[in-house]
Parts: sequence; structure tokens; C-alpha cells
Amino acid sequence: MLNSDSTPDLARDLISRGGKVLDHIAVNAHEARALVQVSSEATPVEFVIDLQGLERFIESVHDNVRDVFPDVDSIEGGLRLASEHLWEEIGSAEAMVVAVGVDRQGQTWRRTEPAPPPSAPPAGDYRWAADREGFDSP
Amino acid sequence: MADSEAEGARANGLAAWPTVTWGACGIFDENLKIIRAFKGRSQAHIGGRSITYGGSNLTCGSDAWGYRHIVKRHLSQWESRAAIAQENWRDTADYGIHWALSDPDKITYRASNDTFCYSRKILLVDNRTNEVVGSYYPMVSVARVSHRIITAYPSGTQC
Repeated sequence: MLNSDSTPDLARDLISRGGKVLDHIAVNAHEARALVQVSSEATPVEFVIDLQGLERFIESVHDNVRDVFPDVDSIEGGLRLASEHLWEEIGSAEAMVVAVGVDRQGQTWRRTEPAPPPSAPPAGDYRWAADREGFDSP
Repeated sequence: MADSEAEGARANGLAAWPTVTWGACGIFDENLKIIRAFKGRSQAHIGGRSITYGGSNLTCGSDAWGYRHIVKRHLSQWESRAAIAQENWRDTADYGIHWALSDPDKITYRASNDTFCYSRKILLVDNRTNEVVGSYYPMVSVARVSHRIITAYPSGTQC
């Protein structure tokens, strides 16, 4: 089981895994937050980690996280999975992400700029192709 | 293992992608049940850490990783890509994951998580004109030590 006293440090650790922390990580009784430069190209993203939610997440993966990360303890493994989920929130967004976090229930979330209109092509006959050559780029 | 490799490959000039039916993950199936073994994952050596050439398994996993996680968090994203080409989402995901792992455009290493990220540009081709009308990047996260697939989702950018 987690020692709640250590949760702020775990939240700091989780935020630091997201990239270069700009300024500092602010922590209060409920959450940790910081502005993070996740890549050199992207604008900074605010990370907001609910401390209770982080505890819930780590405890929820306690029983199987070593199937993925067999060489570390379950807390370190939980942090790695939480970090991967935050990366997912950023990488799978259709619009620019301005904030990501872990909520009180231990679920990750993101907030984006307004999404651009869907760019799906008109109905037709299409295929996905991995070919590197032979096509004209749009 | 429930892999079953069917005859043929997608008719796009690439012969190295076998159409594979993913195994099922029932409620009572174990987390480590393999539903798809991806062979030929590219090796990488980044930041002093290596992942050897070999395979990566997609297992049932949990809400936090593996197939169950992909279904929970990324099903609608895969389904929207699949719908454009009138495919089953698993076939679209399988194709993207296969190419991202076996012939990636980009591999990055996240030292803090000890994971490798693989991505590859996949083109959307109009079958009537053979012109490219779109693209996306399947992004696959693999744990360095266990080689297990943590997640896979369609993205607008490379790793």
C-alpha cells in the first residue's frame, strides 16, 4: 500500500517524466501542477495531478504492472504506466493539448484548444497503405 | 496462442503483412494471454539502451495496458480510421502496428519509463485514382524489458 505522505513526491516524479518542467512544480494538499515543455516543437502543457487519484491509479495496477515492468517495484511501474497514459493523452489528441492530468478517480484527462473541423474524406473507395513510394503526396 | 495467419496480404504492393485474426479476450481470460504476436520488431539503440530485433506480443492486459487498454481508450479512434477504408478496426490497427514495429519512421526512447515508442506514416489512398488523400501515424509503446505492447493508437504526429 502507498504511504500517502510520499504521494506529493510521486506526483512530482510523474510530472517530471513529461518533459522539462518550466519554473517549478506547485504542490498543495490536493494536487500537484506545473507547466511542462513536452517537446521542443510543442507549446508547453500544464500537468495537473490529483494526489488521491494518483494513489488510486497506482493501487489499481498493483497486481499486474509487473507483467509489463518486471524489473521494478509496483510503485515505479505504476508511475511508468501513468506517465505513458499522459503521453497518450497528448499524442492521440486531434487538437493542440493545453493541459493533461490525473483526476480524483485515477483516470487521465486532457484539455485541448477547440478542435478543427473533421477532415475525413468524402465517401469513396479507399485503402490504408504503408508504401513509401509510388504515390503523390497531398 | 490464438494467432491465425490467413492467406494473402493487402493488395497494396506490400507482401510482408500477413492478415492475422486477433485472438479473443474474454472477461476471464488472463492478462498474459497473447492475442497477436508481432514478429520482426525493429531493433533500436538510443540513449545507451537497446531493444533487440525480435517480437512484441499484444496480450489481453488490463485497463492500463495491452489490448483491453486499447479497446477502452482508443477504440473509437481506430474505428474512425477503419470506417474510412470500410475495414474492421482490428485489421486497421493490426496493419498500423505491424508497420510501425517492423519498419518504423521513428523510434524514441523514454528513459524515465524505460519504453520505446515506434511510429510510421500510413497513407490513405484513393483506389479509383491511386492518389494519396490523407495519412496518420500509428504510435506503439513497447516496454524495453518485457517487450510487451503497452498501447497503440493513431496519432497526427510521429513519436
